[in-house]
Amino acid sequence: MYDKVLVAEDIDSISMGVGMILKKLKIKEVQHTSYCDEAFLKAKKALQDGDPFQLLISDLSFKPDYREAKLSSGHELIVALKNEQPNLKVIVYSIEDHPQIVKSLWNSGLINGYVSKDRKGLIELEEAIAQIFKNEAYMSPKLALLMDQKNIMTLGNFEIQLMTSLANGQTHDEIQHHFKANGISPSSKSSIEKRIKELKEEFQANTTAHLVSILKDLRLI
Amino acid sequence: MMKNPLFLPLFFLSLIIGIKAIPIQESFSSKSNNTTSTDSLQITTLKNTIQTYVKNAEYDSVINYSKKLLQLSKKLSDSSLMATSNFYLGYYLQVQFKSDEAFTYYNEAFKIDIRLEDYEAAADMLNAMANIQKGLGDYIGSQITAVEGLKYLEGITNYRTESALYHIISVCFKELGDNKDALLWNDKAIQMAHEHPEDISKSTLVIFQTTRANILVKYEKYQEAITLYATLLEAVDQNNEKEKARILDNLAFTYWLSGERNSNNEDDFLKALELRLKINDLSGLTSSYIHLTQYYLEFDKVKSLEYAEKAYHITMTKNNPISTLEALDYIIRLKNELGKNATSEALAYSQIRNGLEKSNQMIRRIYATTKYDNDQLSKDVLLLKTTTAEKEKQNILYLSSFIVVLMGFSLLFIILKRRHRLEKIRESYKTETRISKKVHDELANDVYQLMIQLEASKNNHDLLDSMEKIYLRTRDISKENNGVHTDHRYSEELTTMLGGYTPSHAKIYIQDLDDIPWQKIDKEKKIALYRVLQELMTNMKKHSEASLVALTFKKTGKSILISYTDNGKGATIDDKKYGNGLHNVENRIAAIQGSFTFNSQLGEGFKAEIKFPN
Repeated sequence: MYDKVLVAEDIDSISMGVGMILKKLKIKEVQHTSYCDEAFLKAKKALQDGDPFQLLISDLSFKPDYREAKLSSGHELIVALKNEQPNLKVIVYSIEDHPQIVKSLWNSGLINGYVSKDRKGLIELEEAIAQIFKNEAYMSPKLALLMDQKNIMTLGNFEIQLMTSLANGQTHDEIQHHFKANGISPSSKSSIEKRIKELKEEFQANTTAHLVSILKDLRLI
Repeated sequence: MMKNPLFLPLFFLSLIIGIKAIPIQESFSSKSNNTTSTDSLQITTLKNTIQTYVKNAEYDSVINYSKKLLQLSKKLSDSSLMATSNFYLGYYLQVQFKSDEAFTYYNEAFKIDIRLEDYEAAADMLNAMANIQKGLGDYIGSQITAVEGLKYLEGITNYRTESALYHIISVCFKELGDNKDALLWNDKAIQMAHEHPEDISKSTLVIFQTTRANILVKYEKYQEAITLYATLLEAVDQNNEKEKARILDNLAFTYWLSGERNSNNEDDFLKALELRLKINDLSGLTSSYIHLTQYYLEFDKVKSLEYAEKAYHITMTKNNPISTLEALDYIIRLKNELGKNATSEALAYSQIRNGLEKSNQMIRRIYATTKYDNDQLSKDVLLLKTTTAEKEKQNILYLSSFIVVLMGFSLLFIILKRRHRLEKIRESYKTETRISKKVHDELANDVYQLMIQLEASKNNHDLLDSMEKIYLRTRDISKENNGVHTDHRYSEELTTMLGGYTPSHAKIYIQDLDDIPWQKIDKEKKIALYRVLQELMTNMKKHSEASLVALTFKKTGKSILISYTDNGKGATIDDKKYGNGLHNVENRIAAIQGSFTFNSQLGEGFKAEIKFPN
């Protein structure tokens, strides 16, 4: 397990919660800070002293106070520290679950884990540290689901042509000929029938007519 | 307007080439506005009187009444009539060989024409003036005047006057000994006469061609000249005895000059003389007598002197100083040769010479001051034109600046209104995001803290559950109002948002979202659309129990069209759960000048159309 971990979190109770987890994982040295600038300086000093932090657990948003901050967000802190110490592991522990923000951070390659601060947050954080120690990435399952966006669909040109033809009362044979004539592929009867079957499943339609009716209702065709 | 001599006898036709006679009625047709019926009656009476005297060749009376007409025109301030009267005076004074006076009146008419901007008439007057100068032997002055006349004709089509001016210039060159240029200008006149026979009469052409022959004589191209004269003699209107006589006389003279001195010479001279005596062509008679003087000069000095004296006599009545001097020149020389006393002739010669000198000087003076005045006038006219043009320009400028300013103000108004609208949108956006952040950072975190503490104590699961609900709701509030990236991340963020609101058991079909040129769409519109779709998605998620949602994006011309459809329970605007959110949607879309329409029946899903200008 890690020996030296830095926690950047401006809410004491949360910081304490994180501390409890880290204690549980028997991490020797844990340093807490409520400011990004301070976190940066601590990490940099440790690096200069030849005893760098191995893991950073950071929130993203920090409430501004009387201090003038050079680094005002967790994101900035991460960017700055990774610049100084590229091998530093980073876990974002944030309430932020805006898919776009999560996605952009996740895709930036700067972080190794993203844990959503919710009811199961601390449990997930524990899991995350363990995973990352094994050189694997971690994301809260709820966020992963959000990232996946499996429920976003797009009907392709082929499907729309197919469904429109069906809606116009064309038989599979006619559609096949029409597709062939217009260079729409695949145009084989089997692939057309296969796709209709898939679409029926996708739209939970019992018959082809039902499928057409659903698509019409949705104004997709 | 052309000036027209009243019923000119044929006799005067060639006096001024280029001035055409038409009935007097037309020439008086122009009236100034302040001409009353009494005035016009007066004018008509005067006009008729003048006409009668012209018919009777009582030129003194013509001039008298013309002067009265001039006075009347001055009284009526009828510039047009004034110009006409002056012209009549000039013309009929010239008929009476009163060149100096005639010149002055022409000059007055000319000045008025210039003021009236009747440049065609002005050129006519210059033509008459150049003619007088030519007659008085001031060829250079005549030429200058004629050239001036041509200037006024620039851009005006008047072949008759133009060719007449060419002719004067040509004759002047001839008299000045510049035969080459004389021929050149004569060519122009003849060419024009050939090209426009409808404007330039045949008799005028004959005059031009006679001049050509005269020039050829001066060139000593006798043979050519003789051929031309012979042709002309055939071509000339046989009734035009004056011209016929002129050609005959010139032909005889040329024959004689060419050295072919046969008996025919004398006959020809005498034939011409006879004709001229018959029609009493004084100017022609002078030529005949001078020619006969020259013819007899060498071999019959008595006869020669006889003819010279006859020429002298006629020139005195005609008041033609140039010819008079020529005649006197011969008389003095012949008398000396015949041993006669020529003192009186010598005296007369010097007197006439002085008189001519004076005349020329006077005319030149008139001419000079007129020219100066004309130049000033032209300058004034030009200045006036320029200032008028300037004024027009300025007016256009003023008008266009006014329009520009008006447009500017309208634009400013639109911009300000738009800015105000945009500011309002931005302001509400800022407020939203600020509240969102506050809810997120403070409220949600505080709730979370509490949850953590409760979790640790592990004593009340129900409490913890409700706690979590509160927590999630605060986060939802925050999420609904958080910031939107309107840059290149927009479409992805929009997609993510749409997916995020779609429950895991449902599906959303998004069609052609990437067909919209998001980069070109205003930031405020993108935010509004995001919020509107967020609102629809929230409603869908919370209340509709829909399993399928479809969103279609379309760009049509200047609009962006988005249709939303779900297969949920549907709702109406009166639905309290939906109502607030839908009003919110309407407001947001109205703020970006778009439209929002929706169509929903309970149990039949929810359909909505969003349209806004891009």
